[in-house]
Amino acid sequence: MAAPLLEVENLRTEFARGESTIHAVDGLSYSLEPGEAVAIVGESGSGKSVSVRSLLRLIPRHGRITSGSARFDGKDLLAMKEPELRHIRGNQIAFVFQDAMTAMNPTLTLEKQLTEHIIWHELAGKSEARQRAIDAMTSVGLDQPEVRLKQYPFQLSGGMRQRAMIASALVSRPKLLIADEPTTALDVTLQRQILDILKERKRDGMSIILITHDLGVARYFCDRVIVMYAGRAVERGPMRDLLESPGHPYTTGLLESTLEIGAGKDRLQPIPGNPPNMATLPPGCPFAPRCPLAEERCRVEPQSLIPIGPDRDVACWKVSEGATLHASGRS
Amino acid sequence: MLLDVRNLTKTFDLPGGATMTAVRNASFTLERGQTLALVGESGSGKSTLARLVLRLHEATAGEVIFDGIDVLSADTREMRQLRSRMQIVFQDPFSSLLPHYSALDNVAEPLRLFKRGNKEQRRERARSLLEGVGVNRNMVERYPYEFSGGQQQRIAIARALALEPELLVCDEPTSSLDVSIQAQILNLLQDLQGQLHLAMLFISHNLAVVEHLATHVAVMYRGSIVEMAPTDRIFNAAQHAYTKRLLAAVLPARGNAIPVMPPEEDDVPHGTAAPDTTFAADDDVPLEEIFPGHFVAGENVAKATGVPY
Repeated sequence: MAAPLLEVENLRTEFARGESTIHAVDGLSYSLEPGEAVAIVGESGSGKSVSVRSLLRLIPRHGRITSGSARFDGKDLLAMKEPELRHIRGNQIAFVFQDAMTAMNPTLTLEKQLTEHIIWHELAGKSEARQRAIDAMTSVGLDQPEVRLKQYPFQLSGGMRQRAMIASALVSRPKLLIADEPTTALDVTLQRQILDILKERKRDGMSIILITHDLGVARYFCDRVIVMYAGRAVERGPMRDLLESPGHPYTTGLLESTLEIGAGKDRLQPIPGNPPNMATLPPGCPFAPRCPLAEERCRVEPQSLIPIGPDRDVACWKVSEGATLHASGRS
Repeated sequence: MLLDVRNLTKTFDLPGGATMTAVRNASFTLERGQTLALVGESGSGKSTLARLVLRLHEATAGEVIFDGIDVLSADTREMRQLRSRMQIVFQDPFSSLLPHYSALDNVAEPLRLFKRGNKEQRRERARSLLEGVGVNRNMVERYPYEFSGGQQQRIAIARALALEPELLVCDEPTSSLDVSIQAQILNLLQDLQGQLHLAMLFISHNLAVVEHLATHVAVMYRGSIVEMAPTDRIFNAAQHAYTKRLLAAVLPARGNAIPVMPPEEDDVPHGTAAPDTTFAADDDVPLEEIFPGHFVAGENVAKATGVPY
């Protein structure tokens, strides 16, 4: 198998908040092959956005990456000097954010937003950059690209702005696209169109990290999934496999909270309680206070990711005990 | 019948003299205990329609009859009384709550405005309302920012229910919430509706939520209701091409294969209401009842049945 495009190991990002320290990302590891898409799924505050922003060191000033490595094409993004990283950002690794209105510069025309970075990266001269911008806009389904290049973000509808931002990310032909809730603000029909555009690029070999809270979107788009809770990966595995037979009680809870068409009008079984306060996490499993299976051990001792099958691992005492039982039963 | 909306239309003036019809000729009825979901893409007019019913926007034409009262011609005093009987829960709970009022004072405020009871009675009622939506008694003196999004939405729901309304409008009440919290709020709304026999107008772009909660669904497209039916008819026997497209765009997390989404029939841009000049005059097609309670925009009956998807 080819070397992975990205190899993240034991990533930790902290934020100082008053006296306490928030462990926003607490030891995250994963790898990504060329042309592969991985979903990072979790609720607000689970650390999914911070984890990908940390890769490009795009975190707020009071944040600090305290350990870990992120090898992209063999080079550690976290150890690299800033000028070197600047050559990768917006070039080989591109970002798509949830809200195009705030991510784009309201005072610049689309032409500037779509070409500035590739001209800076010396990927193209001015007129070639313009042509590439036009091609990228066409590929994301924006009509009249020549006209639109002269427009400002406010002159576009929300859906068009989102497409323009994706075009701007694709115009440098990145090897890795990080998309942070790229379709959350959009209507379902438009969401589907945008995911299809990204799927096409994936087929051409682009790798994608998709941050989402929507398991349906993750399933449609990604090969593998990482479920995050309170800054940690609580479960990892191939998409289908994980959705069909979730291991971690949190993953199960997420699936049971997710409404599906055809599910009928039965009462939902939500996860009780609220997402955790990151400043006062319990000593054991962070999900223990909301977990229906939790027992004493879960509350005091954290469990790390334990393999439960091919390419699957889960951070749960109850599951790993069960897995051990199975294993000993079989032998 | 609690609510009878007839041919409601709202036209906005655009700069330069153009007009934009945000809602055209919308008609529907709603009984107590029923939930009508308004679905459609952003800019389709679903929020505007709900606001016209509450008279938060003034309609350009049409009628809203609430419990026999003509809402659109009600004077200020009558309108004030009507407001206590119809309430709304917004998408963003934080911006809809008064930030400098505690949770308790937020919920007690409508009672104060309508002079219900004395101060102590109002606070007691607010306390029990908050308890009813799952906010702990020992937290009610806190301010909105001290609560999570889900808790804020519970407070907003408690406030909406304070005056015991008969009609509750929910405008994307769970869209800004995490999935686990969304499920809690949906259960809460379902319970409250059962207990209080509320009529609900529920705006959502999440079709799975709609199927779960609504008794009836109206699909809006560019300002018009293009299809309206009992919920199971919409999900099992949709007729209008746009409804089918909407249903096919949903991405399930589990179970069946993902449907293929039919292509668009035209290229009017998404996400914005377009000026009237973008429409042909025959866009304004009347609804036909093709099955008891199942209405489809006339021209599209033929169109829809002619298309294989």
